[in-house]
Amino acid sequence: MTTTPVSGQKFGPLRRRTTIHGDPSLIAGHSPWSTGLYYFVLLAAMGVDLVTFHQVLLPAIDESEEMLWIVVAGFTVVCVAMSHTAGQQAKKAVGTRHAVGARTVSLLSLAGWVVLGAAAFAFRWEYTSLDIGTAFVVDGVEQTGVSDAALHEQHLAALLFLALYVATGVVSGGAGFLRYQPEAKQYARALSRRTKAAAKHSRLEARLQGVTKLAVAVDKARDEHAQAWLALEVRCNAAAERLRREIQLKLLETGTGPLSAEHPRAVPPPRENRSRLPAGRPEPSDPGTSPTLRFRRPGAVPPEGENPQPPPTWKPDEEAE
Amino acid sequence: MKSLPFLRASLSLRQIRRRLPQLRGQSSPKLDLSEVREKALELAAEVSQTNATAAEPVLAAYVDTHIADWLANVKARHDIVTAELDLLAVRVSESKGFYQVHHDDQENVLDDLEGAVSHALERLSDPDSPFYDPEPRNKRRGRSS
Repeated sequence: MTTTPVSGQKFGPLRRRTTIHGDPSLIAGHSPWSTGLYYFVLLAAMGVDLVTFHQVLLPAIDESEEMLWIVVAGFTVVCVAMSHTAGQQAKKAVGTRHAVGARTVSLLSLAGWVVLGAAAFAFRWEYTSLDIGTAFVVDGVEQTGVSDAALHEQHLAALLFLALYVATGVVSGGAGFLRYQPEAKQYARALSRRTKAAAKHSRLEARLQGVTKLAVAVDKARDEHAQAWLALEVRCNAAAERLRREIQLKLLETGTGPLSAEHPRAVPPPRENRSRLPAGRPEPSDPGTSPTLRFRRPGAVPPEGENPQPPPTWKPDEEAE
Repeated sequence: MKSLPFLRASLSLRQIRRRLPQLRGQSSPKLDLSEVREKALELAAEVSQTNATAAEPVLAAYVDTHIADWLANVKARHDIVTAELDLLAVRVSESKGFYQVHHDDQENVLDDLEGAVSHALERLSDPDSPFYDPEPRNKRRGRSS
């Protein structure tokens, strides 16, 4: 119990702060044996109520056996639920958190449970079956009545029912009162949901990482594809140049070529950007407009912006001179 | 129905993972100049001395044209693969955005639940935790407001 001033009240008497009687050890929950025993007790109470209600309702309801058992099961579930709810809500009502409506619900459940038991007990106490008792003749008139022994037996059965009903109600309500820990259950629920959310979050993160890696791989493949095209253009240029030189050599070998010892072609015609390799991420190029494709004849007019110097060519007039 | 977008994204990624190695594993085309070389050298051998000047650019153009024609054919195939890679990139980007949105949303949910767990623990263990539940009327009896 702590005595701390209420915030906002600087003057006046100190008000005692209500102490929360929480028990963190309840986070671990009850033991499995205790839980099993708890449900066993509840089921036993329901079984007792089932039998007692069957005895009460058997002479009262003129229906088939199935309908009778349905009614009996309904009565049993309702009375156990009411007693158990009364215990649980009483626990919440006496707690320092004071859940709204807990006391009202507890009282209503208790009242319903009492009324149900009282009605069943009164019916069992007063109801007389037609086949109970003896028939005798008084002054020539047949009389039916209940013997004292039968009446006594009937009252004893009603009292037994009442005792069992109260006992099972106390057991059920007491179990609900003692075992119900709303804060611990709320913590367990929050923890369970957080665990599921964390698992889902981790799955999504793993998928996101996988997609990110896949996106990087696709971008890399695109880059490699573009680089491969540029490399192919360079190889084609080199192959074309090599073949042109072979043709020139062939012309020289046959002695009919334009290049002779007197007019050697010392420097091959410049081919702009022949060794230019793209830096960074290149764009796909068109073979017709690529800077590395210069399949132009030596005598052709170069486009604007290029080296206007014509390649040195052999002239037959000079050879003739 | 809730998991249908996830299923669609997963199938899309599976198709991309299956298709990408196929596209990357395609062999690069090889230029075969043996036939052109043989033909050009044969033509060069038949050139007479008087026609040599005019023959050289013609033979060079013959080679260039052959290579340009071959490159044009290869370029068509190259563009198809490029377009398919672009399509894969778009689909990957779409899936990435989908997972990013759900990942961020789930992160918010996880943060909220972390707060819920902390608050539940405080309710159970800390007497000084904020009093969120309304006080009963008998606790406020005799006090103003």
